[in-house]
Amino acid sequence: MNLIPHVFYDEQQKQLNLWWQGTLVLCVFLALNSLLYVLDPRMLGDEALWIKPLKFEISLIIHFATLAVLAAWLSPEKRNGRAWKFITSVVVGAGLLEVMYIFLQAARGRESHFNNTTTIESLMYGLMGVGAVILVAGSFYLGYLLFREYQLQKDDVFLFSAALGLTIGSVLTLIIASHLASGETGYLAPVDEEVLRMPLFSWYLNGEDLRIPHFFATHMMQLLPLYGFCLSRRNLPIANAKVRLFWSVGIYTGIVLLLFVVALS
Amino acid sequence: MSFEQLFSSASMLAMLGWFILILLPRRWEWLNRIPALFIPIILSVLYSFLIARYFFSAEGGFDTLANVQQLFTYSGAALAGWVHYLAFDLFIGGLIAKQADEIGLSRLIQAPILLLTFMVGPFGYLLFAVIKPAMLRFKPKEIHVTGEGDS
Repeated sequence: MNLIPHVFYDEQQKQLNLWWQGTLVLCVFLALNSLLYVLDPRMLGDEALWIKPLKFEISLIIHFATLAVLAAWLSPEKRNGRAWKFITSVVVGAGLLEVMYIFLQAARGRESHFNNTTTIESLMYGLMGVGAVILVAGSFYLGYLLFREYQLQKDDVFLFSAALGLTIGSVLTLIIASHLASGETGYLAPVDEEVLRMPLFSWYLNGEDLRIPHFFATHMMQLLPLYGFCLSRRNLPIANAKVRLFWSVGIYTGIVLLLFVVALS
Repeated sequence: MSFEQLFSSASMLAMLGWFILILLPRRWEWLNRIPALFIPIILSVLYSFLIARYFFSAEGGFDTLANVQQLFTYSGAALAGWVHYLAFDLFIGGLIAKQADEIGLSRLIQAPILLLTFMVGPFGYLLFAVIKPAMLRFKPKEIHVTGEGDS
């Protein structure tokens, strides 16, 4: 079965589906943002002003593309059904609002997260929290739907890996991100200036930066399905493939939780 | 009517147009014409009057940035400039909405594009100008329709 049309198109509208329409908008923001990142020397706190919207744009493009690709494995009834269409609209809407607000705040030279200076900024920070929950709820729901598809066949290790990656990745992201949000600033800028920083990501590599476990938790949604895809191509016996999958889920989750616990302590 | 009153009325009228364009349904042609045609025409009439009446009695001009700034220190000229923005931004918004419907761009995606055209005109236009050819490029030639219903 050729799944490519189901990844890209909305069968009823006969056009690119909403995931890719949203991704196009994000790509234009990303292009403009890259230009601003190079040309606008302003700083916000300890980072270049435009690095944050840049990260959110890239990360949401990956998120939308992941959901668009994996939703192709849903049955046509589910993919074209009201529930999945509704979730798609809500998640794409939340993602675009999130990026537009972070972009606007960067242009103003102000913080988007952890900013309770004015009533509107405080309200928007709260709304962004709601938006973030919607984003992970969408991926969790797709993981659940894919698990239901998997239960019908029980021999598709890729489908199983996608279901596990989306559900566990979403839950871990929610736990870590809500911890991040409950702090005052999200991560503590170390007093010691000598701490190594990761190029491009601007993480502090002293083990205290909560953004690191957040990153690995979120991208479990891509890495696990990729691993499942590789396993499915190797034609291993299904029981054997599943054992490998369970081990990798266990090890990966363990590493994320370890990073999380270390950052907390 | 004072300049301030004209400013508020023109802005309110334009906002009504943007409200219709962004939020209301597109199934009635008479409703579509309000933001795409009637309001830009009313604003253009107002602009034509203002520019003919006040432009030549103000100092400054369009040849240097300093002259443009000086021109806009005159209320009549600045109001004309503002109404120019309102009229043309809404007109472009109407065109974007029409073309976006034709290429099947979701209303959910149209909303931010139109909102940005309203607030920061050329940025919204830029978004649409990039998205439209991409949508046309990836338009499927033929799709096997599966699942419930068809539009």
